[in-house]
Amino acid sequence: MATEMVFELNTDKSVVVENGSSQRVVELRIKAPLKESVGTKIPLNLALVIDRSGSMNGVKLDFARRAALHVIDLLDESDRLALVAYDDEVNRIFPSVRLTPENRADLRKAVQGITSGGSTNLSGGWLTGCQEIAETQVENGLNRALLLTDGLANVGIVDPVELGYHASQLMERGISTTTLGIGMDFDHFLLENMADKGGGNYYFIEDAPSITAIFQKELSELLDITARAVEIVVRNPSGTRVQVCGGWQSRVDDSGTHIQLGDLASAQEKRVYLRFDVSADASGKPVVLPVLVRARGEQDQLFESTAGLEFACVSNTEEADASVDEALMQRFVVIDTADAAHEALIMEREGRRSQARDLLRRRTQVNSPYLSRNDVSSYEALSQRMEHGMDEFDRKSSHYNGNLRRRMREQ
Amino acid sequence: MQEEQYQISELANITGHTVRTIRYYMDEGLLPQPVIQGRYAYFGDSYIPRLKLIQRLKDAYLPLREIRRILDSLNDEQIKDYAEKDDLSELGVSALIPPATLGAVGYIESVLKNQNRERIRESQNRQSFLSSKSNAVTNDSGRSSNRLEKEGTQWRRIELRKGIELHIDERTMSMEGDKLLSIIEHFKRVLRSEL
Repeated sequence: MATEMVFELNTDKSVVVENGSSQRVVELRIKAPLKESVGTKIPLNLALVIDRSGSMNGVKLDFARRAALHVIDLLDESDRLALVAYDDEVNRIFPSVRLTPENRADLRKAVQGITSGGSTNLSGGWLTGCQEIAETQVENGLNRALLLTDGLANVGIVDPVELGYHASQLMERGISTTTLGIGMDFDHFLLENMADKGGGNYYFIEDAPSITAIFQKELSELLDITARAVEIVVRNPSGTRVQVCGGWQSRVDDSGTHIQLGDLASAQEKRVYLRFDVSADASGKPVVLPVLVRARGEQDQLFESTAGLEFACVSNTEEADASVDEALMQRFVVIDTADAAHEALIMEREGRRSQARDLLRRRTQVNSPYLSRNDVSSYEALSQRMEHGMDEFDRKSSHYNGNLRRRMREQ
Repeated sequence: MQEEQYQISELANITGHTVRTIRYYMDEGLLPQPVIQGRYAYFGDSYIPRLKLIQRLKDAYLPLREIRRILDSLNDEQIKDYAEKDDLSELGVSALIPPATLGAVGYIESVLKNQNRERIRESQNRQSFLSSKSNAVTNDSGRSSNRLEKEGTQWRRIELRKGIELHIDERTMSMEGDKLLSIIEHFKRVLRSEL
């Protein structure tokens, strides 16, 4: 039997200041249902988009080919796969097909035939992959492009904001994007942004031999998905404000703040943190925060669940004396400090080193009562490296570790 | 069939514009002058799609100058088509954001088309830079994989698939770029579907 989706709300304190303003930390905990039984899964409709620009030549392309073959092995007849390779031109190596034994053999042959070429039309390759998926879009399935690159986008659309925008638009149209950066020369902020906006995952692959393992990880997550297109809607009352931590894709409209969590695998758990700013009036009426979560299940059924928090209005001293959920704060500061590190890493790359150091150092100090001693010292060390300027490997791995933390992804 | 004729206030009501805006568009040359009969000016059916298209282009933050350029390049029939069409990217407006009503397929097509258009424009700029350079430097061998030169004509070579090429001379390319783009896309699509 499938379990239901779990959805819980918690807060650092359940009181706010009467006739004044306060800030609360709100934790939203979501756990995807357990997989119904072995052998059932959501059909996958994937496109593998492989950078075959000159720099991929040799061992990187070699392992990319191996990884692609591995992906073919992991899919079954209910799934579809398209293969796209790009340099400055885009080649549809193989149009989207179902994984019948015959197609499987042809796909394998096509993978072996991918050779390296010129410069990097990342947008063209990625969009062509998405096009293959769109033309065969599976309504109740998982439609995702997997983009593997080692370089910067230097042909086609190169603006990171525009690429992120298209990724979010395609996400809203049911096509998600996972990005995989390999080596030291790709733009990690660009790829992370595309995955964030595109509702997929971002991976930093340090060396070619790890490509296969990372694809395996992404695929096993995809094969295990039990909640698709998870969305949280925070219906905060007027006079209050919600800030979403952890860099989740979110937008605000009349009905509230919508947070996109993408797809969750069986029993996968995510915690999303909000800063909740409240200006309470003198009426003494409690402040209520209703939150809704919805998702599609394995059989495309709609999961919907609501929860709410109620904050009593109290005096300044009572608010200050109210007990704090310490365990919650310890979990929150992990995300909050990682957010600050993310921002500081952007500054460091832009050459604003001392600003980067100050930002991270300040936030680490503020959060230190709840941060583990280990975390405090490693953030201290990171802020010092920022001051001196970091090497590319340090930048990419610090950024990637931050991404895994903020998204509660496993190492 | 007799064409409907409207007075300016009627046209304003039907299209949701104010009388003042319609007069302003006439002054700016976005709308042709109406037929004057006695004391009144009469506007035909064709003003309705024209106003609708103007509104859509304005919604895409296009300056009036650019809107006039687009309208001047279209006949009434085309204006009528574009007023209803979801995707306006064919009009050569890269700033246009694909409308929310487009599905994934249409959305991607429109983004890719704009991207290709930019690339052709870029390569045209590059080509004209190259040719001005080769005029200045004597003995330039004109070595370029994309260019075949013959008696002063410059050709572009476009590979549709391995073994199939399309040759287009540069002048035709710059004049008929849009048409050629759709032809190339069509060819590529047909060749792909053979797989």
